[in-house]
Amino acid sequence: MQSIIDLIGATAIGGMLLITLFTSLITIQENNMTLRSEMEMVRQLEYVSGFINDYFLDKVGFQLPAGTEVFPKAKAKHLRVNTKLADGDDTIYLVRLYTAAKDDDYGYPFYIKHAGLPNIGPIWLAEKVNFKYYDVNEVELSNAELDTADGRARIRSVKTKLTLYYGEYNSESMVTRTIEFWKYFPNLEI
Amino acid sequence: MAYGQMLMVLLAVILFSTVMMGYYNNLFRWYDIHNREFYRLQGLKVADKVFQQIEFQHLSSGVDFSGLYNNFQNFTSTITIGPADYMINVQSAWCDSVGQTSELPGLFIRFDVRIACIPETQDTVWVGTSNFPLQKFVANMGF
Repeated sequence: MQSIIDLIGATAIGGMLLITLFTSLITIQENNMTLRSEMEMVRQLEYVSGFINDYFLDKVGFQLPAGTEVFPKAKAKHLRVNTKLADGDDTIYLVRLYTAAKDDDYGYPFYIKHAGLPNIGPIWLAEKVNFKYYDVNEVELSNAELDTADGRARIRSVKTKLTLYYGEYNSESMVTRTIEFWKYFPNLEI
Repeated sequence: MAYGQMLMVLLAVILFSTVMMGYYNNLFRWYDIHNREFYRLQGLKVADKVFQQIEFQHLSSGVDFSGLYNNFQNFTSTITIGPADYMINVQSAWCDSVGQTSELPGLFIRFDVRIACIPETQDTVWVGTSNFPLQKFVANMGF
C-alpha cells in the first residue's frame, strides 16, 4: 500500500514538474521569437530609412533644369520629387513615395515608384507613412502652403515617420516600431 | 515517501527553478539590450539630423562662418519620439585642422554632439558622451 502511495505521489510531483518545464520552454521560445522578430524589424527600419535618405532624396535640387518643379506634390502621405539618382546618370526621375489604400489583412502598403526603373514595394506598414515639411527657418509648412507651387518651393527639409510591424497585422501578436528621420536639401539653398 | 526521496524532489525543484530563472534573466537582458539598441538607432538618426542641419547652414548663403559657430554654441533642444525624449546638446569650438581646440577664430569649427535618450521605462541611453561626443568638423571654404 505504501509503495502505491509513493508511486502516486512521485507521478503527481513529476507530472507537475514536467508540465512546468514544457510551459516554460514554450514561453521562452515565444519570447525568443518575439525578440528575434523585433531585431529583424529594427534592421529593416535602418535599411529602409537608409535607402530613402541616401539614395532617393540625396541629390534633390542638384543640377535640376530651370523650370522643373522640385516637389510637384508634398502631402502628409505622398511625396513626389524630381531628382537625379545614381552618380553618372543625368536623367531626372520623378520619384513617388506614398502609402496606398489600407489592406485589412496587411496594413498600409508603402511604395517608392520612379518611371523607367523598377519600383520598390509594397513595404507593409502598421500606419500610413507621414511626411512633414519645413522651410529654411525650420518652420513646418501648412497643408494650405503645400498646396501651392510657391509654398512647395520653400521646402528645405522633410521629416519622415515610418512604422513597421512584425507578426499578424491588427492582432495581439503584432509588434510595431516607429522611426523618424530627417533629410535636409542643401542643394536647394546654394 | 521517505525523507530521502522528499529531499531529492526538493533539490530537483530548486535546480529546475534556478535553471529557469537563469533562462528568463538572460532573455530579459537581451530584451533590454535590444531596446537600448533601438533607442540608440533613433538617437543616431537625431544626431544625423543635427549634422545635416550644420551642413545645411554652412552651405546656405544666409549664415556666415562665425554665425555657424554662434548658432551651435551651447545649443540645446529636445525632441519627443514615441515613448522617449531625445535631449540634444551641441557645443561648437574653434579648432585647428586636426581638431585641437584653439582660442581664436580660424578656419575650422568642431561640433561636439551628445544626445541623451530618456525612455519612459528604461535608463538613459547616451549617443555620444561628455568624454566621447559625436563630432563633425567644418572648414571655412568661403561659401
